[in-house]
Formats: sequence, structure tokens, C-alpha cells
Amino acid sequence: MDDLAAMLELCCRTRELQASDLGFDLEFRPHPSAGAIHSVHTLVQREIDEDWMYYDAQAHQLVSLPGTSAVANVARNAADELVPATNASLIALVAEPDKAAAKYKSPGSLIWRDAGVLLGYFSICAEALALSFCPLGITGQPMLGRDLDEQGRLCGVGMALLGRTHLG
Amino acid sequence: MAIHVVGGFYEERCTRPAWSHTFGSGGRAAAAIATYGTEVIFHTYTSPKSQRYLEMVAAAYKLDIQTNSIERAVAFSYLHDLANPHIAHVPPAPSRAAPLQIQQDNVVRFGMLEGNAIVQAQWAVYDPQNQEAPVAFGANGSHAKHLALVLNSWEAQQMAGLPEGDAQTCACKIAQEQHAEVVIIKQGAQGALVWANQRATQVPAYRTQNVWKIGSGDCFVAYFAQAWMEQKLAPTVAADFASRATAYYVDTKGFATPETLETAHYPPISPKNRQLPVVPKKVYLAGPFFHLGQIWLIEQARTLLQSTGLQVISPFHDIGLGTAEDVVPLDIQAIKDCDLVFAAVDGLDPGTIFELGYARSLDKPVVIYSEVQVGTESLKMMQGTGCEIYANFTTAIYATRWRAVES
Ligand SMILES: Cc1cc2nc3c(=O)[nH]c(=O)nc-3n(C[C@H](O)[C@H](O)[C@H](O)COP(=O)(O)O)c2cc1C
Repeated sequence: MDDLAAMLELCCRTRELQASDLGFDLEFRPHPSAGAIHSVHTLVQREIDEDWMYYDAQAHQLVSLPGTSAVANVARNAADELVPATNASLIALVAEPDKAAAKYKSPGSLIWRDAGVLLGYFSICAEALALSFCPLGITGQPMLGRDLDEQGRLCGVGMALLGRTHLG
Repeated sequence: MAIHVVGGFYEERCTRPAWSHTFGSGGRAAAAIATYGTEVIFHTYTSPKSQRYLEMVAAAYKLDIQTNSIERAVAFSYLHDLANPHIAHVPPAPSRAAPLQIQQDNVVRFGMLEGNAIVQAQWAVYDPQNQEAPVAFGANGSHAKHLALVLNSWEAQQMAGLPEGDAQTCACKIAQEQHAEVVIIKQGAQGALVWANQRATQVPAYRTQNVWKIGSGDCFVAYFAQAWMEQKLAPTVAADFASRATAYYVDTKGFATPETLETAHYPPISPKNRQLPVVPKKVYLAGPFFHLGQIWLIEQARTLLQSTGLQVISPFHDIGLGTAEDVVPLDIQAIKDCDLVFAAVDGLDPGTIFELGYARSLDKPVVIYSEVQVGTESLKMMQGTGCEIYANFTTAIYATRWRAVES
């Protein structure tokens, strides 16, 4: 948990807020985002059978999303097929395109860029903290989209595994 | 030249708005000064757990650190950012850690709960921090050629031994007794009084859209120190800079750089009346009080408004429950007599909404606190009649204080 906290702190924690008239505050986090909007959210399943936890970057807290363990397990199985790492924490990047659309006409490409930047930052921070980080190269659809939110406001934009480097 | 900061590195948690960080006065001041561009060496005590965190903070803000180890770091927890904190893991006086010794040109020193710092400096800025009995800079053998003290009103009265004393009298007495070149007394919405060269000058506070209170005092000290010791600005100019840079922190929770501060515009709060004696402004406190949660809120709001010298008329406290014939004429008269209204609107209590509508029809300013209703249709009439509406409790309290000094 300390490793995960350190990782989220270094990569994602909100450093500064700025009022805006978009309906939410703009945020400055260590990693950049188009328009300081941060429409890509980070979810974590620490262990199999646990619910997804949402990272609240302003409060620096993980908030459990009740009733999501089944969909999280489906995502974990998909991850396992690519890289078996039962003890790793599963990280999911979930975009909320409407948030970016509050400012931009065609937010699509911006969201992919945000997701890419975030994965890059995770990799660098994991290196600094001597952790293992492995982006999975899959979007996580439909587990992170329709399966999580029936109204279709969310969209999976990446998954990754985070664990302790195994020495020896 | 580098600035050495010595002070606490403490865990901080706030329930609403949700926040958790390890900063403390020392850590926050160090981060603020370093972000502004001055090299910082931060001296503090750390536990094994907080040491790990400090290394991260040091990397993020580019601080040099010098630490002495203790078993557990002091931890603060706040229900909201204007509440008095619970403070855990404070060692009893006899078992505090051995004092840190700092001999440098420029030093910022905060009082600490787990230890102490003995400072020998050319230039020093000192914030005693101790809420029970503020300790003089020199009491532990510390010495500085040029010394500035940053105090709040209560600390100043305690240090001066004048429990009822006005700021200027206290500042003058403290400067003399403690050989301080500068004494600054923070006065909330009124800004700060700066005593230097045998003269008192007032610098304003600056108005912001949001108010985040935890750490604002630390930032003020940090920015004053940066401006006075590094930029060598005159004390009043440095204090005015500190007030503006602190506004940036209070607004954004972030630390200013020269560039971001340049583009941020905060209007100064200009008190209408500085003549003494100041007649306290009357705030009518509108809000339901039918169950404990509601009464709790009224109680908090009343205490916080009174603590800055406002006179609060609270129907719960000052009029009470009764029949319509008994209480309503008194409520109405109190609205007519007040200077402005603070209204707690969550729950949409009809009595409260009637009161604030009545007040608006008399052209009294109304500040609304509503966490739940903000952005919904329910507040349309209030929005359309010029009420100030805030979802954040602390911001609403501050907006009321600012309105009061400006009206
Ligand atoms: C009652 C009280 C005592 C404190 N004592 C210390 C202290 O001894 N040393 C220190 O570095 N910070 C101390 N702090 C500062 C806290 O760690 C925290 O940084 C501070 O509350 C931030 O808010 P402020 O700048 O508005 O005071 C104290 C705060 C309070 C409210």
C-alpha cells in the first residue's frame, strides 16, 4: 500500500486547483493533461476479488467502488492472459470524454494523449521507486466502459500492472 | 543565498474538504520558498515513516534535508479547515528530542511540538506556533542580528503580557523586549500590522475565490522570509508580498512561482473604517436548528464569525423557540438591524429562505453556504438577487468576514 501511495503521490496527486467555469476546477498534477482538465481517471484493484478503487487526486485517497469486484476480476483475467502476475496491483485508466468535451470540440485524440502521458509518468515513477510497472497494451474495453457504467460515459484507455521487483 | 528552514514535518488530515499530506509548518514553508526559486535546506525531526515521505517531498520540491530521528511524527487531524485540530503523538515536555542546532546566515524557525531549535543567525524569521504559551525566540539561547517575529493577535497579546492590548501597543512592546527589528501581527480580513523602525504600517489581505486555510499561516511566514531575507525588501513591502503570495496558496492550494504570481490578480480587501473604536458589524445567522447536526453547524458558524470580532445575532442563541407571535417580530427586527446575513441553506428550510429573501428586499448583503444545493435549480432566486453562494464552508465564512470589513 505504501508503494502504491508513493506512486500515486509522485504521478497523479493534485498540486494546485484553479477555478473555472467548465463545471469543475482545473487541476495541476505532476503529469500534464490537455487543458488541465484531467479527464483520465485512475482505478486500482490491489488484489483479486477486491472492488475497483478510484484514486481521488485532490484528497489523495483511494475510494472503493462497491459492487465492482466482478468486472474488476474480468479485467484481471484479461491481464493475466498477457502477463501472469497474480500478486501485482492492477491499474486501469478510465477516460470520461464528456469532461474534455466541456472545453474541446473533438476531445478524442486529446484523451489518448493524456492516457499515453500518464502511462509514461507511471513508468518513470516506478523506476524511481524501484517498482515494476508493465503497461499491457490493451484498452480495457468493454470492462472499463459499458461494464462499469451502463450509461456509456466512460471508456477504457489502458491497463497496467504494478508490483514489487522480485529479486533473486 | 540559501534559506535554512527549521520546523515540524507533520502528518495533516482534513475530513472536509478531504485532504491528507505530510507537511507541517516547516515542510510547507520549505516547499513554498523552494518553489519560488530560492535554495532551501530543511532541518527537522522525522520518524522512519515520515523520513521516507520527506525524501519524496524533497525530491519533488528540490529541498536539501537534514533530519534527526524520532519514533513517531506528530499528526494533525481537522474536521474542516477552520476547526481546531486534534494533535496526536506529542511527547510530554521532559521526553522531547534534543534540540537541533543551526548556525547559518538566513534562518526561518517555527516552534516545534516534539523538539526545539537553537538558532544563531544573521537574519531570522520566527513563528512561535505554540498555541498555549508562545515562547520568545531568545528563550532557548537563540540569537539573530536581524530578527522578525510573525504572530497572530492572540500570540502577540500573550507575548506582550497585555491580554486586551491593541496590536500596535503589543508590537511595540514585544519589539523592545525581544530586540526584534520587525514584528508582524496577522489580523485576518484586516490584513497585518507591520511594526518596524518605530512605526506601524498596515498591509491588506487579498480576496480570493476559494479559501483553503490549513497552512496559510505557514506560507505567510515563508514568503515574508523569502522577500525580507533574500530579496532584501523593506519589511512592509515584504509583508505585502507575503500577503499576496499567501492569497495564491489559499486560492489554489499550490505554491506560487514568480510567473504564476505575476498573472494572478487578487483585489486587496480595503476596510471601510479604520477609526477606533471600531463598531462591530452585525451578522444575522440564518439557518435551521431542528436537530443536532443543524445546531452544530450554527454553533460553528457563530463561533467562527465572532472570533474575528463580528457581532452575531443567532435566532437559536439570541431569540429561541416560541410561538409565531413571540419570535417572528424579534427575528424580523434583528434582520432589519443587521449589516449582513450568513445563511446555511442546505435542507431548504422555509424559515431560512424567507429570512434571506426578506433581507435581500432590504438590500442587506447575503452570503449563502450550501454544499448540496449549489448548481441546482433551488438556488436560482438567490443567484438572481445577488446573493454570494459558496459550496465550501470556510470560503463562505471568509466571504462574510470580508463583506463585513468592507461594508
Ligand atoms: C495548535 C497548533 C499547534 C501547532 N504547532 C506546530 C509546531 O509546534 N510546529 C510546527 O512546525 N507546526 C505547528 N503547527 C502547524 C501545523 O503543522 C500546520 O502546518 C498548520 O496548522 C497549518 O496551518 P496554519 O499555517 O494556518 O497554522 C501547529 C498548528 C496548530 C493549529
